Amino acid sequence: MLEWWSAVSTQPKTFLTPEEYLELERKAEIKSEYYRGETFAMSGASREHNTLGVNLVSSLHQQLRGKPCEAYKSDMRVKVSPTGLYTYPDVIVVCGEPRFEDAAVDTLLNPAFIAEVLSPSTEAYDRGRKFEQYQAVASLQEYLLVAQDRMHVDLFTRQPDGTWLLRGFTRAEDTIELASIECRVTLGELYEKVELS
Amino acid sequence: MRVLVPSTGLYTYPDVIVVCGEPRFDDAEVDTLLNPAFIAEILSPSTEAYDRGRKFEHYQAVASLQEYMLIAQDRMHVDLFTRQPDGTWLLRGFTRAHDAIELASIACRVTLGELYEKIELS
Repeated sequence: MLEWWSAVSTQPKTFLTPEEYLELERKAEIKSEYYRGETFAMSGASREHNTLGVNLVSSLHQQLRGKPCEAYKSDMRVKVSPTGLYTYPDVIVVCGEPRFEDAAVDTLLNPAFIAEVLSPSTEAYDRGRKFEQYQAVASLQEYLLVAQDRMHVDLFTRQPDGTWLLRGFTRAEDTIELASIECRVTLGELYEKVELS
Repeated sequence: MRVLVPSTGLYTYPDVIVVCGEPRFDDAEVDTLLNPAFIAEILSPSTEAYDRGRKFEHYQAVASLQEYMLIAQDRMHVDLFTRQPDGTWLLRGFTRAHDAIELASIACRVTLGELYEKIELS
């Protein structure tokens, strides 16, 4: 939900260190992402955006019961260590021992799965530069992009040679197999109660 | 060169097209190509979401298309999508001047250094 191109900074022209950002962020009433000294306030999301996120995270949560994986929605900060980006993905799954930046255990370092629900203002970022950032997270195996204006999902899966395989899904009966977290979800489930324009 | 995606009805002008073998056209005007093998788009802030998203979905419906290349203009970065036999697409990213992009479908290669020659990056 970051306005990358318009770069709406909550701290205009004030360069923050990562430590200063985290200190402010932990007291803030509005979430902000952080990259290279700048913070970017996050806006709220549409009903469809929320429903898609809830549908996905609740399906994954249900399937991950009794397994060493955890799903989080929207409020878990992720740090992309190699690039220094701090961001709040729409849905995250971590498997095995979650690793955090520090003792506050609110900044995850090792997501296995990330999903973003696409909005007009963030689609270019989510498909482009943000995906490039996520590619730098060695633990990340799958990246899911969910359209909110029609039934369409793109799944990118990391390959052993560092390339990513893109598979698209468009029909209600299509089943998305998330191999990295051993979950599956149909588009019908994912888009339940979502009003498509 | 205008390209028609017959299955979706989109008429569009890609930035760069390569056609191999006999070009097929929509009609006798021979100005609307039906069978590109390779398409490249240079990304702009106003079109990046479309080029990476819905436009790419249209292009995926062109059975002849084997490779789709996206070129950033604000930094040295190229994404190459290659069609796989099962209908998925393999994404390979390139970021360094000495990286060579191998375009298997058209048996061509280009380095990023060449591609970005005289481009002033912001």
